[in-house]
Amino acid sequence: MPAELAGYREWSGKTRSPWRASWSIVRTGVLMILRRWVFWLLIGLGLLNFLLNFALIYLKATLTIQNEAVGQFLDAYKVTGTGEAYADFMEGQATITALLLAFAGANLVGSDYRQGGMIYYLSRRIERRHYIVGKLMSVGAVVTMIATLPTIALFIEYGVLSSSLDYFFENGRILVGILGYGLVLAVVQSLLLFAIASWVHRAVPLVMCWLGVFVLLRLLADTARAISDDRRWLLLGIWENMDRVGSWCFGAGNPDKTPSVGLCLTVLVGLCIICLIVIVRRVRAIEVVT
Amino acid sequence: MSSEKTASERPSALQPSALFSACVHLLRLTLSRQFWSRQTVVGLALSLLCVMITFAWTLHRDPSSKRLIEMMLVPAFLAFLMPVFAICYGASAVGGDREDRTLIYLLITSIPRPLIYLTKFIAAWLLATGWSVGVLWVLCTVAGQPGNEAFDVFLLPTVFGCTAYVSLFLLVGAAFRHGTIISLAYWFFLEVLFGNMPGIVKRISVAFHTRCMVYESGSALELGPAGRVAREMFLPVSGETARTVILISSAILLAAGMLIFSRREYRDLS
Repeated sequence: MPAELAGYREWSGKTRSPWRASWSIVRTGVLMILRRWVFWLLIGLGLLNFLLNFALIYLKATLTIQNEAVGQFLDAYKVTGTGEAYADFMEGQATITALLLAFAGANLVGSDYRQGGMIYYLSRRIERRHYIVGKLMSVGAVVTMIATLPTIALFIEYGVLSSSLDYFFENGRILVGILGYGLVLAVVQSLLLFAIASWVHRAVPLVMCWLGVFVLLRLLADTARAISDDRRWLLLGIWENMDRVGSWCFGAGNPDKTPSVGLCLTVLVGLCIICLIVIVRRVRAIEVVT
Repeated sequence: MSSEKTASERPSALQPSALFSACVHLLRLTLSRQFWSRQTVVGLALSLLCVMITFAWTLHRDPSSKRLIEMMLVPAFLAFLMPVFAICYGASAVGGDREDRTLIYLLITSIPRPLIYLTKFIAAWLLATGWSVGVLWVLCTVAGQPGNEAFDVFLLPTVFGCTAYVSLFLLVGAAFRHGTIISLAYWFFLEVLFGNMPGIVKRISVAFHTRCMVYESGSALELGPAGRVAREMFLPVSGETARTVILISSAILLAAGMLIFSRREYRDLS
């Protein structure tokens, strides 16, 4: 039977860039995550810190007008509206994000390997790079939802509740810092998660690997530093490197501290390159069984 | 006579010896499936990393049992590896079958559901406790003389801690579809965050009671939380109380798990 009779016909419309498929992958991935109640439970727990800070900023703005001493007292809880305070908040959120990503990684990447989603995606008119970028952006979107967006909300709240809008004009660097820190978290964590999930697809070993990377490497770094009395060993702590580079985006942190921001950035870039190589090697439309 | 015959012919009415044999077979199958899995490989890698850290620690200028426990065994083993092993084998004992869609084959057998759950618990407990004690022994051996003293201090708390964690995470795995993630969230929020809070709120965590047992059995070494403020705010209970709490809560969690597993209608089996 001719293909035309079976209903097949040539696409006569205008073809769009395959990069639009990456956006579809992001949309599908985020919606898939948001459909799970476990994610909402985790996001709720993750936003407790945000709600606390939100309430404290509101209290400070309200009470400082009546009693300045109360505002100074609340400053002890880091609601000072400075870059350092936002960096600390983002560091706290990054911890929650790591937990969420353990869940997201198994669903977004691991399930594609287990259930053949990758073969489906790569059978469409997209290439590996479109799929990889789509998945990385999906993970990045989760990081942004938990870490970057709540921080921007706090920044806006602080500015709106201050006596004038000068806060926004005088602290433009803070907004750059929030976006910079968010970008560091999103890029490094999405690449690392994708690389790990491409090797360990199931939730349990993925969670173990993911936690091991963050907890044990830090412990190894601390032990090695204590033995050799060389602070450069701290570069093994990926989380600390991200925090150092993120704080630098805010202009916070001691620039003379060892290891330097440049070294931390170099380690993170090296890690990202390694992860990217692993990802490219592991993303294949077919699986060769020997 | 005829009613006896009918009862014996029913597939659900297994003879005790056949039931025992089926349970033993299920135990062996569960042990084998759980042990020869990717999580065991990852667990081995994490344990090797811990051994490396401990070996690096032995090069420290002043290694002592107290420092080994406070700097290495409490943060790396008690607070991280032991709960992770329990999550790995506890939450996935039933959860793994659900994920692999093999739970239906288990549920259509003639073994009563409470016995299936109990068998899964024994398998998960054996694996988690075996791994934890094995890793503890290796860590203490690598640490040398300070490790020998530390092993005695940690052995009983490890067994008790594993029992409580496994019974809890097995229950979570049987009750919820994403048991691993919920167990992980529980571990992070209740064990790590609440476990380090000042006051009595930390008493709901397993880690607190395990640490109390460690501090009491290592009282000769003057063990305790690092720092004066942390010591004053820790408010420990006696080792006897901690053991009793862990045993009673484990029994309650196991009974609750058996009840939930028996009554639950799993809708995602195929």
